[in-house]
Amino acid sequence: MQVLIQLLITGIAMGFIYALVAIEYTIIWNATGLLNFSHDKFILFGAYMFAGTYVLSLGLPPVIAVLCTIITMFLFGIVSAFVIFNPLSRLSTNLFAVIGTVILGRIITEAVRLIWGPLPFSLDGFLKGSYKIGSVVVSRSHVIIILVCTLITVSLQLFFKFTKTGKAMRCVSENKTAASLMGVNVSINIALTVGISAVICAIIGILVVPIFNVELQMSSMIGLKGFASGVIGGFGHLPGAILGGILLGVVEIFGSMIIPSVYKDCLSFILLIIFLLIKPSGLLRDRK
Amino acid sequence: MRRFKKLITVLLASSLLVTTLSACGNSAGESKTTGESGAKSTATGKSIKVGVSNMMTGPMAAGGIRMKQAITLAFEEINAKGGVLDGRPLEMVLVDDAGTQTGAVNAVNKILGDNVAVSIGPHTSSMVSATQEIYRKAGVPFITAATSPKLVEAENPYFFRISVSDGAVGPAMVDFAIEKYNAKKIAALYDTDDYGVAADGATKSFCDEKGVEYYSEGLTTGDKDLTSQLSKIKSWEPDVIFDFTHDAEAALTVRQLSELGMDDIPHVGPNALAMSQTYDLCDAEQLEGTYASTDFFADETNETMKAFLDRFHDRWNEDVERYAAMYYTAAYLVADAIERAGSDNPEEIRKALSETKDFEAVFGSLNCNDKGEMNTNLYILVFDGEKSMSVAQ
Amino acid sequence: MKKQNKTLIIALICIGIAAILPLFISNNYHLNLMIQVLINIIIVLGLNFITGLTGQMNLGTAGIFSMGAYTSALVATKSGVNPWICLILAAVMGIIIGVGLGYPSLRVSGVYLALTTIGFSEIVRVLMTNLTDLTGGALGVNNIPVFSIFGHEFRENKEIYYLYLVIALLLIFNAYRIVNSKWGRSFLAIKDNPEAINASGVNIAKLRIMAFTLTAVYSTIAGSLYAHYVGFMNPSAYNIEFSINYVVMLVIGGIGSVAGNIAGAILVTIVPELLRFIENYYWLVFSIITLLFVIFLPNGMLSLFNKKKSMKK
Repeated sequence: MQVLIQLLITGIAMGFIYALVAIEYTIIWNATGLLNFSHDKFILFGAYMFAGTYVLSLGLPPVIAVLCTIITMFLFGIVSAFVIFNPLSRLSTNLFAVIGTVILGRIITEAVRLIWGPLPFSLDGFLKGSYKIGSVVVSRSHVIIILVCTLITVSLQLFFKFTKTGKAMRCVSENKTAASLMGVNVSINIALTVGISAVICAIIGILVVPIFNVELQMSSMIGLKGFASGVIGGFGHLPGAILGGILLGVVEIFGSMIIPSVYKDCLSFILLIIFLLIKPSGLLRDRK
Repeated sequence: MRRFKKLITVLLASSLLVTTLSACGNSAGESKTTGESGAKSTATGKSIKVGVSNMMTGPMAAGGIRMKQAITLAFEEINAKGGVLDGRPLEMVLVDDAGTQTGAVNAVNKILGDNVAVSIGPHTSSMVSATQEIYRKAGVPFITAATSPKLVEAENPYFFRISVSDGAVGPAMVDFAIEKYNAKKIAALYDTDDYGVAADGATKSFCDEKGVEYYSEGLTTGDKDLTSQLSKIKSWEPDVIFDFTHDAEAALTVRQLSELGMDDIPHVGPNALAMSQTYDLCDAEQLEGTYASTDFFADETNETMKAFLDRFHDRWNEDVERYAAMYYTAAYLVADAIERAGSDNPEEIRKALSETKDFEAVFGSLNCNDKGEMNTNLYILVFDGEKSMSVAQ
Repeated sequence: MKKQNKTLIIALICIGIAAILPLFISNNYHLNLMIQVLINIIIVLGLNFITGLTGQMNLGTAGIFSMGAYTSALVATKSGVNPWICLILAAVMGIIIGVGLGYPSLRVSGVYLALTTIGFSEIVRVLMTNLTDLTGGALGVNNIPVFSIFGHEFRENKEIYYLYLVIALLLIFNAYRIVNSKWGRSFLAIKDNPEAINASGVNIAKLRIMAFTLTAVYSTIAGSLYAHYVGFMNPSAYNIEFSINYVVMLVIGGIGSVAGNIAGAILVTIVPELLRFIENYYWLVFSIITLLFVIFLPNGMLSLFNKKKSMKK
């Protein structure tokens, strides 16, 4: 029993990570029609910047380091929107956008490797340790992940519903031409969206620092699984992305108790294919 | 706009052309003998080329850097003392194998195309198994620290290993667990690559022999979340836990064992855990009481070792770990074999290598057996609360 | 007519150069590189069908290639079947993958193919690593036999180069025919103008699946050729980075054109080898150049010489 609870919590925590990944690329997808294939590298970049530069090199306390990382990543997002996402979204087919972001991902990885070196590292004591409730042991990082992810999800929803910028973003994702006729600056809007997405990536990166190490491959798996959660929940649909992520996290951890653990990573892709075959619109979305 | 586009295309095309051309011009300068800040060479004769297939880029780059530093340092020292064969310096023909099989095949072909007398690397077992035949065909001996027991099955007379085979590590760990903890049930976490599978297999058959129950769970290199594997192991209630994994996973195992409340079960880690690049990833507190089995230990009480540690640190401002010690030894072994062979002929050097006896390496003595295995020095170390290790067995 | 003659002459000159090149090269390392170029050309030509023509992204080259290689290698080593039959089996595997993966991902419009192919690649890698009894796990399959014709074994790099050159030329010719046929034009129309082609009653999904199957067959054939050339297979190298390399070749050379594909494959295979002296920087430099290409010159290098064809928005 205690093992089951422990697994459930781990599953939900990982699920929330997948959900955040799904949210982070879905908002760009909605704003630009581009799928950001470099999103896992954004996460990588955020994690390295936080752990490598702000905490280890500059010795900032974690809270300030988190703020600095968020600000830097927001700026990075804006810049890459103007330099890369905007030109790519104007090209004739979105194929080049896919290629462009894939290559952008590789550029970020190479840059990270050159700036911070190929050696993995970790932050001593950052969000480490565990809570004991009766005989159930829950790791502190998992609890924090669940809390922070819930907070972000809720505040994003509020942002889209109640702020002017958020409403404008929703307009752009519905209809770019109409939005620009209504006086919404589409370019700036896209830039803001990419900026926010980059911030979410940074937060994901920071959250996984204690459970993974800071290393070059740290984010590739969660990047892929984030894509799978998006399809499972309904592509381009935010609540669907969240549901898909949590579902995937839980299915994965319980599935891996039944099948040999090494095949754990296959589960998400098998789910992905099953959904494409049976219900390509995903769990929460009607066929358009 | 159109003019702008044209300008960009011209720029792009010319940048490609320039990089290509400059590459052609520079590719000759690839092989460097010594670093700039190293000891001056006093050897003036015709240099003897030694190939080094090294993972400068790719997933194993961390080890590649140490490997290069170690060999560079050793060659600098050897050349400063007048080189080999009365004044001939050793020259390193360094090629990046990117840590992949194809990369290694390319690198070894390139090295052999340069007419080397003897070669060092590639490092991983899969790279060695991909390049063994190329070395055999070319008749050039090579020294590696790859650990898979399967490598000797090729019966390649040009293969020389200065690390301890994985087949020997597991049984030593089982002996230790029985002796120290009177273990009846041993569980293991293993990487499903050649190293982990070989170690798992050898441990399993040795446990059967000793009448100890054995249970193991696999993981794939790059796995981040080991919860399900460790939960399964936890519910099996073992007396001792082994793990046969690489750097990142070894560190994750330590951390997740503690976070799942399993730190009261004795844990014997792999040689990766004894390297600073791995245990630096762990919390000192979580690491306390953990064991690591390794064929290398930076024993500061040993004078030869201490001197080496200091020299390496002076030269590179980095600490020695397993890669460095292994390949530093490999470089000296090369020099020694060339001296004993009395020539730079690959076949003569092969013969000299196969006759290696009581060669004093920084970590113990090397004796070559008929399979090309040279090293049988194995330690089990234990961590105290401050990340420093001492020999437990 | 005149243009066709010109193409023919250029093609013949290129073939001539490719044929006499080994006479001047005796270094095994260079020959090895040239064989890899040939194999890469085949893969990029294949990738061109789905990505270059229909505009769907395939990020699973690694998985498809290694499936072909493993099919060929395992059948050859376990049952001792002639490598040529293994090559055919690998091509059949390509058809299975093409239809099996294409059907779920290409029925619905969107970027699903990119996602499923990445997933497929990962599954293949995990299976190859962990089904140790079948695949030999991470140490892989060794001692894969070489091709032979009438009892003559192709062992030396020079012989293998000529054999593969012939195979590559056949596949190049085939690709050229397809690209310039009715099929090829329909594929291209899907990318450029899906609404129109949908209105004309053509089944887009079927065309896309067909294009993807061609891609898969080319990749598995390349995989088989590779396996029988290097003599070993191991799963570790076949990750997403491997797949991206081929996308880079496709973009640098020129999307949609056979000549562009060939140029891209040659350039991207050889330049990194030459750039080894800047070890740490070569992928960074190369990736940046590629990104600039995507943004400013999306139709690749060849569009510089082929002004008329360059795509206008």
